[in-house]
Amino acid sequence: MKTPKLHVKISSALYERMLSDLKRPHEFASERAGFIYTTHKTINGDIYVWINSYHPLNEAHYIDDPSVGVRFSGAAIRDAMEHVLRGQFGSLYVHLHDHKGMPLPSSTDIKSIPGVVQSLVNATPKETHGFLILSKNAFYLKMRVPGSKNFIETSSISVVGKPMLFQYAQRKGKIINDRYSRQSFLGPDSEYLFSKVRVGVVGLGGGGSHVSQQLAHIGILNPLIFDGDRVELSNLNRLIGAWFTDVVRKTSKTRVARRLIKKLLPKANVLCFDGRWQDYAEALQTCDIIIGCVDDFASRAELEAECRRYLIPYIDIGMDVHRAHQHTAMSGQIITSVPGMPCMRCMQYITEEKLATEAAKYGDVGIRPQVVWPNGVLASTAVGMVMELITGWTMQAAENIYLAYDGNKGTVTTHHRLNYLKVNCCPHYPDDQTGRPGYKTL
Amino acid sequence: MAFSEQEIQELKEIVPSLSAADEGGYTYILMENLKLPANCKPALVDALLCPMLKEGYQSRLYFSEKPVGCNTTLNWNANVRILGRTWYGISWQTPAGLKLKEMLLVHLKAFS
Repeated sequence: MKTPKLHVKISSALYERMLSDLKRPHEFASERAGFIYTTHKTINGDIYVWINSYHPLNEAHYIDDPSVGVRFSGAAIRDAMEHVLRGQFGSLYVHLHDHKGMPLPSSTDIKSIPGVVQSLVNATPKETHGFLILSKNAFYLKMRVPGSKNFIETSSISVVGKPMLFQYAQRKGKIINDRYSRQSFLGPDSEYLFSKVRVGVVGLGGGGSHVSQQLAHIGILNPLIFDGDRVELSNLNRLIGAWFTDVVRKTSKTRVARRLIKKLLPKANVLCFDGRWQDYAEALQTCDIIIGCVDDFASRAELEAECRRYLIPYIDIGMDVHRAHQHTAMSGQIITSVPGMPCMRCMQYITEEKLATEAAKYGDVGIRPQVVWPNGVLASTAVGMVMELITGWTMQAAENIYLAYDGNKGTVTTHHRLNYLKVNCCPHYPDDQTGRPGYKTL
Repeated sequence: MAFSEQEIQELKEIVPSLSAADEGGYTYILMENLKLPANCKPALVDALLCPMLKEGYQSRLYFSEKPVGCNTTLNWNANVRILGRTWYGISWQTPAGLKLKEMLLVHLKAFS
């Protein structure tokens, strides 16, 4: 039987909390430890694991034993077993080797950890269980998948934040290619990361077609593109890559985008989804980043919710042209919604009032004005944010991004709503609502 | 969003299996194996009740699949992802201030 690939995700906020806790000095143990709880899903034979909580060991469960880094009582394992049973969770036993570089299990780890993991497997055998050893900048993670007695290595671990942190199995070293010599400022690992990350583009109209083209130029090898529409005559004023013959042939927008991407980047593994993303939700869940180029607030809210649940940073773009005070005003937005950080509701971009107004107009939206150049501005800015998420090249502190485009003045500035942002972390999408939803029995 | 024990017990008279989860600032009540009015097929579906103001509706009821055979004039205006699952909903307004059981019954009236 083929060994499944394992992909593990954790939000940056949870990762930092866990690391901070594990670094705290202990009264007598030289290491601290804890348990991580997870949910998982199998998608196309690969297993995706989402970490939704971390629980440090109860202080009362530590045992003073100078011969090992950490020793704890059976009560600690019983606590963990009760927790996984209650929530039907998977688990990871976690501790820290406080150095840089790849952490490796000690002889004590090798001897004792399998027994700990077996206990948790006994509690919820249908879930994944394993162990994680952290260092200051790397991870050693092995898991047992349901039905298997062997530990397997993870294919990828992502810390989802700003910037993201990726670790892949079988690191093959730097990719050096003249094609990308002008973008070396993105970092020595950038080409490798672009060859690995999966970037989804939802909506391949004026904005999404620009985004797809730029991602190909930069070298993103794994784009997933979602759109159920076909090219119409009125699209030609802005749809990047579309030809007049596409109107005649009613070519799908995914086909147009794929053609454009492959001409630029023949090695790209373009996955096309000809329909609503909701009908291909599992494919979307495998993405590392999503750029949403959809038309209305309800669609944005729905897409953001799905991205939050599966720990996917979401970048939203959109433009509008409207009449105001007898003149025409053009505006737009670029918003980054990163799990753990404020969402579009926190930023007051999505509100109940806007959703209600939009719902009341259903069926009477009219023809929405759209032109190529503002789409280009918005798309380019969004792609820049993708680059920052993947490479962290600016080395700027993580901050909320809500940019307002003024098409009349030709400016992109921070939206004033950020001045009134009341929260640093998002109350709408808590950390523990990742992966499988946690329903509470009433 | 919290519910009174009385409201929960009243709702359980119709659907014994109830659980709740939050997403995006909304609370949803999962009702497993909700029995639909006569002539609806399937007769039993999972349903998700959002008992709070959402997108201009005082409450919304979503179904795990679209029943057929009962009121063909319904406007199915929601085919959405919520809590990691696909749900279908009709455009049906309920009055404000209803209790959970009343809310559900008003929604189900659309299928009579």
